[in-house]
Order: sequence, then structure tokens, then C-alpha cells
Amino acid sequence: MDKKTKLKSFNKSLPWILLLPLIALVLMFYISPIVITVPLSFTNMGLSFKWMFVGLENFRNIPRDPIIPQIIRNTFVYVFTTLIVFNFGMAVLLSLLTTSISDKWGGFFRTLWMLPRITPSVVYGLLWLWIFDPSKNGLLNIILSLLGMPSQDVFHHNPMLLIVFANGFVGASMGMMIFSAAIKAIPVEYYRAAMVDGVGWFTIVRKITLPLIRWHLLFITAYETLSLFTSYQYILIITNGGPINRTNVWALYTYQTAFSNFKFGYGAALSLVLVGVGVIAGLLYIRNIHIESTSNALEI
Amino acid sequence: MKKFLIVALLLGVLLVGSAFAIRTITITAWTIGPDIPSVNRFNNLTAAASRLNLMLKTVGSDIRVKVKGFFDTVNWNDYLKKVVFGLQSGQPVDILCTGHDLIAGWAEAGYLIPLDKYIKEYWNSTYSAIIPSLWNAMKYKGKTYGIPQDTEARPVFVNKIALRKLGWTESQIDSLPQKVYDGQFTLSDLIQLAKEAQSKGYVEWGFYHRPVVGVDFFELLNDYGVKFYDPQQQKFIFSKSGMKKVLTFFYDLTNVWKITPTTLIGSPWNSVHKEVTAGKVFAFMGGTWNWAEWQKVWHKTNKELKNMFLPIPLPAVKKGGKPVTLSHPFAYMITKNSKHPEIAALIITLATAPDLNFKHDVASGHLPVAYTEMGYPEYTKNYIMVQGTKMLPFTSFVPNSPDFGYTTQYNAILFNAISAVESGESVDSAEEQMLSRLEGLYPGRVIVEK
Repeated sequence: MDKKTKLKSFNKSLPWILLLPLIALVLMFYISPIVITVPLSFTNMGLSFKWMFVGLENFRNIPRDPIIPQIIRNTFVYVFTTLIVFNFGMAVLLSLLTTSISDKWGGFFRTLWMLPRITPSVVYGLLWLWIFDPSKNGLLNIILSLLGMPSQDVFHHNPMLLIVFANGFVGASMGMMIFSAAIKAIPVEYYRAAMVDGVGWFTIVRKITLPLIRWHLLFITAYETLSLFTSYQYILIITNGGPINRTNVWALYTYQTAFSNFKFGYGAALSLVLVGVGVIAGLLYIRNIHIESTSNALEI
Repeated sequence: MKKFLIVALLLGVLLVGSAFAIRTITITAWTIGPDIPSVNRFNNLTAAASRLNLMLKTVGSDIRVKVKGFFDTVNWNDYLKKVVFGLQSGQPVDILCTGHDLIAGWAEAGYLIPLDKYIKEYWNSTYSAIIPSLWNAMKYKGKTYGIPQDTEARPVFVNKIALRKLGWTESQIDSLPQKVYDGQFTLSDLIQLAKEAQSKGYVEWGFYHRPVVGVDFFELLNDYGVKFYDPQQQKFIFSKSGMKKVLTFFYDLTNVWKITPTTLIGSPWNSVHKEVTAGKVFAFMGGTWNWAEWQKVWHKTNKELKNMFLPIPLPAVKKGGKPVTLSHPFAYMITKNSKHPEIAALIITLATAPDLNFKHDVASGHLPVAYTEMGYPEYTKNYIMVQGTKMLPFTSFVPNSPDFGYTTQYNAILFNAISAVESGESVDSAEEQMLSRLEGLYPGRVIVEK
């Protein structure tokens, strides 16, 4: 093999060599857990960590588990309320508002909204616990009592609201950043032309901004849906699924089954269901997000 | 030649040096409070290692023992995960110190080694002094897997200040515990007093219990005489009438008598302690360890606490009946991963010395596990310890079965039912859900009784 051929062959394999560390990491931390989860879900592995295969028993137990209907309801309420109100709705609103004002103030408000995301989860969760502590020692109730108003018990009366808000305040910042960047990338001439034509802010948003960031909107919707289906850390810290499982969602129940009750087999079966839901949702989104068509989205 | 001599000299020095070198054996101990004052569960092991090293030095041994590890104050679940995954991943853990109710599950899973031969070996020097009933809590399938480290009682702390405001004299207050022991003062008497104290504005709330899941709630099952587990058959017993009585008690607390806030379940522990120690609650189902916590964390003096609280066992349901309390003895255990089980056993034995154990009891508000500890003059002066020990004849333990302990779900199912009724759900509905959850999780292992 001459030098030229060697170089050609090296150049051909160079991308793979460069990608190798990443591929190894993905295989190790993303693919292998799924691969291990599949056989694990067919066992009754518990504290002894023994691979005792029980066939489809764990999957048969899922519909028999009396808590499952409540878990499904909670999961859908949690995922879609957080998504619609915060991770999508609030994110769009924030990005539109912060890009409509000066860069200095826009940046300031965006930084403020990033604070929950950069605060450690445990600290953030504990802050919510303190704010909504149902006793008189909670921040909300201290403020209400100073105002002469009766104490509120959000924790018991609207626990799902608490969870949605806690997750939403973190979740909104991701969409806000993506949407803000996308809005800033829109050529300013479009806006100037519209303004010359005397178009108002709402019409500009509806006719120019939103169509031009459609792909980003779809991407965030897809990404955040999948992310919310598997997220549970703030619920774990704030309510641990309570009171009486009213905030328990599929991902948290899976975690509790595997790592609190040490029923690894059943936990694996539950997590496989979540993987299935994620794959289906992911495929549906990919099918419906047409990147190429977004370039022609502007209809002025 | 010169080089050879230097090398030979160096080798000689090394050999002589190594002959006198001290070999250190490390014993790893993973312990938990989670209450902060119980830190001597770990510290006593290091103190035991110091004593052992002194003995080894005295007899001219070249071995020394070092204890390393941790004392966990975060929460049970984190500790359990550390233990389960640590042991399975081959971590060299020698000693665990945790609740006895984990013994069955961990012994069944092969995490622990039986300690019978070590107990026999050190019986005369140390273990013959252990209160016999505690050994029952350490056994699983006829083998002993734990060495009792401490125990406790779970008294109801009655607010003496409120009693005084209700017109009780000091002698009436002092005689109340005996009335409880004799079965003359019942649970409904306690509730009546709590209602009265609350309605007259002497306290904000009449009755508090723990705000999170825990074994304390088994006390109510025991008080109402509800059997919930058959250890022989390893099956749960679900007495519909019995469970109805227990759930009705919790329903009435918040919905009928209104002496417990519906917000109690889910409140942070800090809020509960803050209100109890501020005298805002008439009766609090706590534990002897709270006495130490209130001193260390809530800065109350022993005098203030004695002036404020009267610890009594949970009064009997029926007049003439026996009161109840529940103990959750802690135990030192040796893991299958230990490479030096003999040394670990020796360390545990030395850590069970009455002076070390007593130091832990005083600091943490726990009760002695050995008769030898009761000989200390400080014991008789320690109010909560003496009061707690009086309750031990009325105590019971969590069943020794893999179905119980922090790793299992019965506690959570019972707690969920209690949470449901306290938040206003009907007793029938909560009971139905509880049974269906139990049957769903333990198919064929629930005996339903009328």
C-alpha cells in the first residue's frame, strides 16, 4: 500500500476514530442500560441480585397493580400541563417578551429565569418545600399571615400544581433560550418591512416570528415531552409522589420500585414500558417535524 | 564490592525494619442515625479499635486495627442504597449498624453472616449482660445476625403545661404514668384531654404523630390488637374489622375530633418539632431519642423538657388493658464481604462495653441494651432513660421477616391509608384500597379476616 492510499484510508476512518470516545460513552451509559433492562424485566431480581427468570410475569403484573391507573393519570396530567403551560407556553412568551425589549434587559430577565436551572436540584427542591410548608412556618403562609390572610395548604390540596410549577420554572428556561436564539437569528429586515406596513406586534409575532421558529417549537415540544416522561427528581425531593400517590408518576414509581423497594425485575419491566412510550412518541415527532419545510414557512 | 556492600546493607535494614513493621488492618463500618445525636454508633467502633490497639501493643503484637467508614444522617433510603449496591459491587464493608428489621431481608439475600459463634465466644465477658428479649429481634431462621446496639421506646409526650392549665395538680400529673400502666387511663381519656386542652385554647393542636412513613404506626395496630402478619406462614393478615378501627381512629383525629391538622402528614419534621417544643401540641407520639434531639437541635434544657413533657406509653384502648410501645433496636452486623470477620466481631464486642454504649444512650436518648449499663449512677439520674426503660415490658418489635423493614412496602401501604383517611377519604374506601394494594403486591399471601 503506497503512502497516498494509506492516507486516504486514514482519512476515511478518521471520523470514526474521532467519534469513538463518544460512541463508547453512548454505548456504556445509554445503550447498555436498555440492553440490560430487557432481560432484567423478565426476572424477579430482588435484594439477592439473582437472575431468576419468570417469563412475562412482571408485565402481567403491571395492569394488575392497583396503583397503575392513578400513575397513568398523574403522568399525563404532569407531562402535558407542564409542557403546555411552562416548557412550551411560558418559554414562547418569555422569548417573545425578552427579545422585544433591549438586549440588556432581555438578557437580564433571561438570566433570572435561568437561576432555577443552575440551582442544585436538592436546594431548589428544598426551597419549594420551605415556601409551601403547610404549617405556619412556610414562607407563603408567613407572608399570608403578615397580610392578614388565611394559611394555604397547597401541598395537600393541590400537590400536582406544586409539582407542575416547580418543574415548569426549571423547564421553561430551556425553551426560552432556544426560542430567543432562534428569534434573534430572524433577519431584522422582515420586522422592519412589516413595521413600515404598519403591522402590530401581535401580527408580527403570529405572521413572522412563530412561523420562522416553527422547527424550534416542534423540537422543544418533542424534546420536552420525552424529557418530562422520564423526569422525576423534583417530585422525588418535594413530595416523593405523595400525598397518597397524588403526584406519583410513572418514572418515579419505576424508581421507587427498583431503588426503594429493591424489586429490580418489576422496576425494569416498568421502565421498559416507559422506553416503549418514549420510542413511539419520538417516532411520531420525527415523522411530524419536517425540517426542510420550515424554510418555506413564512407566509406574509 | 563497595556497591554490593551498600545494597546488602540496605536490604538488611529493610528486612530488620519489616520485621518490626506494624501491620494495620482496616475495618470498614457503615452506620446510620439518621438522627445526629446517634453518632456514637460509629464513634464507639473507633473507640473500640483504640482499646484493641492498646491491648495489641501491650502484648507486643505487630497488628493494629483502624476503623473507617461513615455515619449517615441523610435518610434511610440513601443508606440502604449505599449498603445494597456497595455490598453487591464488592466493597470491603465489614460492619453495618442499622435497624433490626433489616436483618431478615439482608440475611435472606446473603448479605450478612451469622454471629452465633462470636456471641458464644464472648458470652461470658460481654453478651450475657444483654437484655434477653433483644436477642429475639436479632434472629432470623434460628440464627443470630445482629448484636444489639441500642433500643428505645416510643412514648407519647403529654404537654404538662397544658395539664396544669386544665387544673391538674403536680401529684395528679406524676401519678398519670402509673394509671396508664394499670390500664386505668385509656386512649379515649387521652383524646378527651387533648380535645379539652385544644378547645380551651391551651394548645393549638391536640394530637401529633410522625408526619412521614415509619414503624410508629404499628403501635396503633398493636394497641387495637390487630394482628397484621403471620411470621410462620410469612403471610399478611388483613383483619377488616381491626383495620377499620385503626383507620377510624386516624379519620377521627382530623375529621371528627379535629385535634390533628390535615396538613400534618407531609409537613417537614422541623415544623413538627418546632411546634411540639413550643408547647403548641397536647400529645405527641414520639420516641425517647426526641429528648436528645430537642436538647441538641432545639436547644431545650433537660429541666425545660421535664417541666414541659410527661412521657407515657400509648394508653390501652380498653379500660384495664395494657398500654403499648414499640422498640426498633439497632444492631451491629457483619457482612459477607468482610475479610476479617473475627476482628470485626472483636471490635463490635469491645464497642458493646457498657461505658461506650451508655455514652451513646445518654447522648442520643436511647435505652440501654445491657443490664450492666443500668448500674451507672448517671442512669438513675437520666429521666428519659429511666422512663423509657419502664415502658420496655410493654414493647413489641417489627416482625423479623423480609416482608418488613425499610425495604418493603407494608409500611408505605399502611401510611397511605392513614394519609387518605386523615385527608378526609372514607375509612371504607381507604381500607378497600389498602387491601387491593396488598393483594396486588403480594398475590396469594394475604389472609383476609372479617
